[in-house]
Amino acid sequence: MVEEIWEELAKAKYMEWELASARRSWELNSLKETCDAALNQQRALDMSRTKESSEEAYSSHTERLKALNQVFEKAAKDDKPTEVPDYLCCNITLEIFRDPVISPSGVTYERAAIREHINKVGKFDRITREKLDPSKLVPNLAIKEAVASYLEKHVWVYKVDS
Amino acid sequence: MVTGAVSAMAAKQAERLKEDGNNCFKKERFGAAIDAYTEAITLSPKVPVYWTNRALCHMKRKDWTRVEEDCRQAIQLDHDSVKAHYMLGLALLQKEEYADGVKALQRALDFGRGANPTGYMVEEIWEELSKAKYMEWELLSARRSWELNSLKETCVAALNQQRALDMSRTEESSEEDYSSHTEQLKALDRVFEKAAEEDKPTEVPDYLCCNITLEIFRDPVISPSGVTYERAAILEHINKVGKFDPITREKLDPSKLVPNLAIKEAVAAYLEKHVWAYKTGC
Repeated sequence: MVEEIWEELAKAKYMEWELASARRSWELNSLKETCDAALNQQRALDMSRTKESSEEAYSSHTERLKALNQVFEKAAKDDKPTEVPDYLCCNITLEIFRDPVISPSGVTYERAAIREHINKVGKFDRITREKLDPSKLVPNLAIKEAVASYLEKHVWVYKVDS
Repeated sequence: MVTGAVSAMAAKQAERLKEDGNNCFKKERFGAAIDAYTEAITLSPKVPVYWTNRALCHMKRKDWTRVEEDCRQAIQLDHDSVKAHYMLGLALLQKEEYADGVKALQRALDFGRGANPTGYMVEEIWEELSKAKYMEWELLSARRSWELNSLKETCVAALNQQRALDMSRTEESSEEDYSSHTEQLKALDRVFEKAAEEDKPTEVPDYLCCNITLEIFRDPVISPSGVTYERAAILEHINKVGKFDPITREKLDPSKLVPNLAIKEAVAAYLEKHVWAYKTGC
């Protein structure tokens, strides 16, 4: 039941984000095009005023357009899906943590995944091979907070691939 | 001069001279110490300690050029010398060569941690490295900030110019046109603010800070109750206050502290992106 609810919630959050980010993206592009046009217009005016156009002026104009590009890219960054950082993902499930627990050897796993490993494969830490008792698994509260914070900023992570 | 193997006598004599130098150093007679080490080096040039000892004397006299020279020699002889990389880093910082200084200090820290993670030197190196990274960032971010501002002003001027042209073309100017122009300028403001965000010191997220030290984690460990602390701070708490978790009050044995590797990685990633965090706490 919990799994189903989580799935539906994730889907809903993703759709909400998709809509909002599409609009943000359109607005940003629109603004950028206006700025580019205005800068080019400015350049045309400057050129018509001075008798000669210098190499320098041309390259500084192209530099400016490039720099502006970078500025707009930076502004759009949060909306661009990238890879979720390794330290927020379980190396069994390869997905972002939902309920992270840490083993005595310091490795963090998805609770369900490491329990399944202990039941089906054996009572040892999957990475370090050290003995691993399920009672020794400790909730990694700090990482749980880190995941929550990350999801708030990067809602696109909620997209669940089926 | 000595080209091949150093004779046993020469080596012995060199060691004696080193001891002389050490004694002079303790009495803060740095000039005399330097002379002694120099003689030792002449007799036996391949002993890295002679070079680093001499470098330390130069450092006391703030003779940074010589510090750099001696450290580079020492590194050639002993690739892993913590002291040599450390002093080299400090010397480079003096020359405002921040990037290389930071690299040298980082090497010193890495070698130092490998040898003795809780040694006093590691703490000192970490402090200097943090300071250096912060200074390097301050310089770069000031320049980035200036460049961004300059670009923004150019865009605003261009947009205003465009607007003036548009207005002169149409017979009347509408309310709509005016408000959409101001909206554009506001939106542009936000875009530039976003682009400058990484360089603006804010608060380090709570989950990356120890709630004893209130500073960003350096060596985070997790207790059986799931709370993460700075290793040094929680050990001090256990020694001075008692064997219990400060937050949950549950019994806490130091042997049960586990390194929170995931948080350690998270901190490293955060510091790479927000270098200003080396200076601030939470």
